[in-house]
Amino acid sequence: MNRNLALHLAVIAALYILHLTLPAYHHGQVARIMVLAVFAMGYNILFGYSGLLSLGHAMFFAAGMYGMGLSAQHLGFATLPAFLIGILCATALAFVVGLLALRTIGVGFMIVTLMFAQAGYLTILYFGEYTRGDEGFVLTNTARNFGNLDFSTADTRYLAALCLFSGALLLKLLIVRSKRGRVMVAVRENEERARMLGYNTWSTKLYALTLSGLFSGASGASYAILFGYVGASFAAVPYSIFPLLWVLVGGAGTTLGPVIGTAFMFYLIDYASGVTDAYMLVVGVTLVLITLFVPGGILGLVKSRFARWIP
Amino acid sequence: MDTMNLLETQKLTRHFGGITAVDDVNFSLKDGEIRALIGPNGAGKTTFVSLVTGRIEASSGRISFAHEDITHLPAHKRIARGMGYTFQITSIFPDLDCFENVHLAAQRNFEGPARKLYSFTRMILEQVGLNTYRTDIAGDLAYGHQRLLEIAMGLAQRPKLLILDEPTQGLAGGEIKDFMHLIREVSDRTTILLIEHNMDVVMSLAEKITVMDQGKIIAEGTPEEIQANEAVQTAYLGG
Repeated sequence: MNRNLALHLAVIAALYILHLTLPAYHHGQVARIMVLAVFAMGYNILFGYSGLLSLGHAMFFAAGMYGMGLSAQHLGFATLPAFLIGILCATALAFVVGLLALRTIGVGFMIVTLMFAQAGYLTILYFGEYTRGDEGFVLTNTARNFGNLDFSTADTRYLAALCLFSGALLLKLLIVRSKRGRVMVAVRENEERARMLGYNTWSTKLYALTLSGLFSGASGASYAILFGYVGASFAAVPYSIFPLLWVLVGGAGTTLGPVIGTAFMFYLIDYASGVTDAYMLVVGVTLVLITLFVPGGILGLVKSRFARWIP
Repeated sequence: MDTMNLLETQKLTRHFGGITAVDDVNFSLKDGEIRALIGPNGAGKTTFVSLVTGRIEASSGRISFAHEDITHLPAHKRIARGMGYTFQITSIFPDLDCFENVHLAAQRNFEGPARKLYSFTRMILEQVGLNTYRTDIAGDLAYGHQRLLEIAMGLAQRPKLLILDEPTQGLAGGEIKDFMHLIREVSDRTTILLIEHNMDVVMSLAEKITVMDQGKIIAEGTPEEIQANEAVQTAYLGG
């Protein structure tokens, strides 16, 4: 077993140990962090590895969440099929958005993704009859069960989140170490050179965006199941910005960076909001400091100083 | 069409606004040849090879490669059919290490296990003399070494046709010697089209020379013929 795999398995093992030792409050928070970290991992595939900055990832998270929630609520689907529908919705949406948005580059891509996400958000509000708009809806307990597993209980929720997280982390490790994953990095580093090495850079970007949508959708659908709520706020602008921040803070283009970034930001907001009402100011200042002094993010710093082998 | 030809262009033309950078060029390159493409600055050499590789679209004319019409293929498909291209202005992956740069070039058409790809990459690095720098970040290498890395990326693709756009620019005397040795070595299995300003390199490497001026081919022949050609002297000396 190589040290990369060992490191990732150690992280998973550590999270399992936390399950046994954490007090109730943090136990719930870490479950939430693990689900959101999958969203960050998805964002990182596109931004960190392929160099494409999207400002519209809330739409993929929401597509997973609503795909799951609406099919359970209105079509009576059981939890597992509803979960798969959520992932499918997000993946298909990412593919279609990619076909259109990838005709643009740089700032154009940012704006087009932002506009698609806004259109998605407004669509949710427009169909308020089904989606309950801003208010959202609470999933019934029948949509939060699988066999004997009741995802509304703390232990099951934590372990389900850990399963999702582990699967996503190992899948991502596999993706970025694959041939195609290396080409994604080549596209990020120098697209023209990658093209002149015979790689279809456009399809590589579409592949990255589609995978990114898949991860984001899996995160959104799981969030609905584990926390029982589906609401339009998850489709709004902040949820497009969060994954970007998590990835930047943790370290773009590293497999574990988004996990660290998500946990760090989550606890920073949690702590700051206990101290002051102006907690977003604390968050803002932290971000400015990190961008100025640690441009590679937390893990980027560790990697460049101590361990270049970290993927 | 001559069946011995690896590359052929017919009436290849490219306009940029009112300027015709490549004008009605009929060019052919035999399989296994080392050909130099020379001409004064602005003659259209880089534009010509950009049309061949698909970096720029032709305004009119035809290009065929390995007996197939590739005029309308996108660049990456032409490369995948067996062209290698090294840029005039060094174009590498500056934030990746040397090894990864060559590995990326080698992996596309490499068949076999990862271990073999790894040793193949090491062999290419060895061949251009960069093996000791393999873990260095490419962007931190000296300019001459970046040029060699670029050539290594060309070789790693094992192309049928390797197009080198001013490869010796910025290389020191000793490095140029090594470069010429390297090109002779790979020319057994690769056809080479070389754009070059260093006449010593051109005269000693090329079997045949094509001279361009103002978008047209003005002369073609062996090094001796070209040296004696009046039109070439006029183009170079501006006489």
